[in-house]
Order: sequence, then structure tokens, then C-alpha cells
Amino acid sequence: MTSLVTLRRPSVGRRTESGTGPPPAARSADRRNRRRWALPLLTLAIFLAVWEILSRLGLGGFVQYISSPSGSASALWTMIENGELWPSVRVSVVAFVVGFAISVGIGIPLGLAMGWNRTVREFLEPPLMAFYVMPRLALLPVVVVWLGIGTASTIVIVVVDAIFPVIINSMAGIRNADAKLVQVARSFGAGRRDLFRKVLFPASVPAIITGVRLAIARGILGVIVAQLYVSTVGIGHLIAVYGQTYQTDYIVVLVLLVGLFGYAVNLALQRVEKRFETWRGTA
Amino acid sequence: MSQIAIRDVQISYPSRRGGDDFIAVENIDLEVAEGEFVTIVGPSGCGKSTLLLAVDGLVHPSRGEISVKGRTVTGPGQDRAMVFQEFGLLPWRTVLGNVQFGMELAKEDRKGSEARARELIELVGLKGFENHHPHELSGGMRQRVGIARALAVRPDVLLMDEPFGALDAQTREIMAGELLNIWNVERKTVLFVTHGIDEAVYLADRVIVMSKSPGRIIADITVDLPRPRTNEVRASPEYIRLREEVSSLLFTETADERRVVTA
Repeated sequence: MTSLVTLRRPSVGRRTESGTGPPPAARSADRRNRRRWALPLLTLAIFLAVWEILSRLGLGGFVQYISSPSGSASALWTMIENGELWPSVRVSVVAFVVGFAISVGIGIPLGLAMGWNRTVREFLEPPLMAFYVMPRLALLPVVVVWLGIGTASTIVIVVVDAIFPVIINSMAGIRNADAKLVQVARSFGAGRRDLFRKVLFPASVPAIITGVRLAIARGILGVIVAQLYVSTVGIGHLIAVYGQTYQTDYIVVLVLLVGLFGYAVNLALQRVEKRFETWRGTA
Repeated sequence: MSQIAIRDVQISYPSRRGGDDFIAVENIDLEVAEGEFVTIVGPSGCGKSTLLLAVDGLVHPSRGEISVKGRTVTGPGQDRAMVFQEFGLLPWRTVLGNVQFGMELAKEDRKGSEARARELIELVGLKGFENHHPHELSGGMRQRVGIARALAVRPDVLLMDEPFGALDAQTREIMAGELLNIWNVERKTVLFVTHGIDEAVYLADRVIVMSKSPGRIIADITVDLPRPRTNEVRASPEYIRLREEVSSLLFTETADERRVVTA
């Protein structure tokens, strides 16, 4: 009798690394993988080539301020050799990781509480929203006065920047949960606790992940901007130093490193996201 | 003794603009015997779904009383289970997980609930789909999950709120037949809300016809067609007569609206 109803089977591609022998789809998956890498690499190669050629041609009188791929590469090598790069990377990554962890660790529970409980929301939303629209980076001098120059200040700047998308998205996740599902749960006798654990929280996971993703971008930006001003170490500080001496090769390579780091973190998050993809799409 | 007793029930909502309350249904008196299959038909917006929600305990009557097995309904309870119009399945749970949802909330033993869930999945014809997610299923299959989920908590009363309303006509007919097969195995008292006249007559022991808003009961028609019912029933003179009766009652109810539309 089920045959009377249209059946939709799950896509084959998700079935990986299980069972015996390679699945029949492995070869085409291989090709697809290669394709996924080939195009971005090609774009990158063309970009680097054009960049190198333009800088060699020397665009007018600006030539000394124009970076080139080869120049940037040697700048990177210099910074590795003279031991300047590694401590800065470490300081920046630590500041990001700690600030990001605090943002997520406080932002998610806070946002969920605000979405779930009206009193909490009405109490916290006005001050948080006001703070959200403020130019928070302008508070940098105040932070320095309180915490001095260094990692603590950098972390604070990361948190005040990264925590908002986490809070707002977690709250929206709860508030936008399907009212129908809430009704279903209540009909089957769910109390407040079960309603939260079994319906509202799982329903808000996609929104929470979106918030975390935004927090990554803002957190990285926060680290760099903070170190431009309130640090004597870190990638941001290096950028500031080389910026003051117009050494564009160094600036460009440092900025590229930051971009690469952000890309890698995002890729890692996508892995986490994939676990929830099984039921995404139509609900 | 009747299993469901609805006595002089009125359900009203406070009006948003602060005027008079909006009355969804009023003067509802209805008794349903144990094991009886009762369908409620009425024009859209007549409050039939609201009435069903009140029996489930999700909505409270502003007047009168609803009781199930002699106990006054004050909230949702294990003696009743609902099958919802747009299925209301949890998209992140598999078929098995969805069917277990109600039992889980009732704090039933995990092993026992899984066995029961598997049994019901087979009964509703979804064997082999235990680990599929709702988005991988067709509408008809999703509602089978909804039915299994409701039966899983072993309710005395099954409340069905236009359960096949979101399905295409053909699937709808198939599902109606399927529901009767399932009902033969799990003999529950059923209160089934629909706007489909065919469905109402085909399934029911009794058809309750409601007026347009505010909803009142305007007819209580006994359906004496033999069971088990097959598709041939739809061709019998008695079926056609009943169908006409319900249809003309509903037509008079909605006649005003029709005039407005054609004017």
C-alpha cells in the first residue's frame, strides 16, 4: 500500500566511508571534489599572475608603495625568519579563541533565555540593543584606561563585537520556532522544561549556527582592530607597524593571513553545520 | 455512558480591538459513545477546529463543560491524542523518533516505547522508513507518522483536526480507507473534523453538521452504512442520499457567502 504513495529516497552522496569497498558513486564524487578545488585555485592563480604583472609594469610613480606576490612572499619569509610572525600569530589566535569562546558561551544561553522568557527579554533587550547600535570601537580608549594595553583589552573588544550576533540569533531562533510544533508538544503533555529541551532548542539550532558564523567574522575583525590600537604584539600590531612605514608587501601578506584564518575557521564550522543538514530544507 | 460529553459549551476569544468577544462556537451539546467514529463538518471558520482543541484541553471553553470518561477536561491528558492538520512532525527527528515523541513526554520506558513505535510504524504501513526524516516523506506518509504518534500514547480518544486537508484528492481517499483499516485494529473513539463531505460520510458512524460562525450544531446524522467499508460503499444509494443531505445543509449555510461572491 505504501507503493501508492510517492517515495523519496535520501540522496546517495551522503553515504560515505561505510560498508565494504568503495561505493559506486565514489568515482564521480572524486571528480566533483577535484572540480571543487580546481576552480578556486585557478581563480587564485590568475589573480596572482595579474597582480605580479601589474606591479612589475610599475603603475606610474606609486611603484614603491605597490606590493607584489613575490614581494609579499619574501616579506612573509622575512617575518618567519626573524621570529616576528609566530609570537604575533599566537597572541592574536589566543585573543580570538578566548574572546570567541566567551561570546558563544555567554551569548547562546543569554539569547535563548531572552527568547524563552518574556521578563528576561524585556529587562535586557533595551540596554543590549542600545549598546549594539553604539560605535563600540570608539570605547577603545575607555577599555585601555580600565584594562591597560594588552590581551585583556583585546579580548574585551572581541567579545563586545562578537557576542551580539550570537545573542540576537539565539533569541530569534527561539522566538521563530514553529508555533505548530509548540502546540503539538503541549497537546502531548509537554511541560515547560520538555518544551524547551525537545522543541524550542532543537528548532533554534540553525539560527544559533548562523549567529556563531557571524561572530567568527566579527571576532577576527575585533582582534585586528583592537591590536592596531591597544596592543604591542599581535597581527594587528604588526599591521600597524608596517603601515606606518608604508611597507605594503608586509601589510598585504598579513591581511591575507587573517583572511586565510577566517576561511579555515568557517570551514570547520561548516563541518558542524553538516550534521544538522539531514533535516534542513523543507520542514 | 458516553465517553465524551460536551455540555452547553461556548468558546470565545477576547477581541483584539477591545470590543465584544469573538464567539467561535456556542450552544454545543454533544455526546460521543465509546468506540464511536464521529465526524464534524462545517463551513470554514465555523469553529470546528477550535471545538476539537477544547476537547484536547489546549483551549478552554468560556461556558459549559467538556468531560472525557466522566472527568472534566482542564488541559491536555494521556486519555486523548491529537492528529494535526499540517502533520506537526519534528523535522529533526526520524520517523521512529517522531512516533516516540508522545511516549517520551509521558516518561514511558524507552525500550518499551521503541517496540511499541515499531509496531505502529508497521501498522500504518511505514515499515522500512523508521530512520527517514519527515522531509524525505510524501504528505500521505507524513500523516501516517502523525497517526502512529497519536496512537502510540494509547489514548481512549483520537482527535483528528482535518488530518487529510493538506493532501491531494487521491491520496486523501486512500488515507481515508487506510484510517478505517487502522481503526479496525486500534478501536478508538474518534472525533474527526473535516470540511470534506465525502470523507465525513464515508468514515463516520455519525456526522455532526455545524453552522457558520458562530458555530452551532445544526444536524446530527446517523450513518448506517455497513462496516468494514470499501470503496463500493461510495456508490450505494444510501451513501449518495446521506451525502446529499449533508451537502444541502452546508449549502444553505454558505448560501449568503455565495450570493456575495457572484454579485
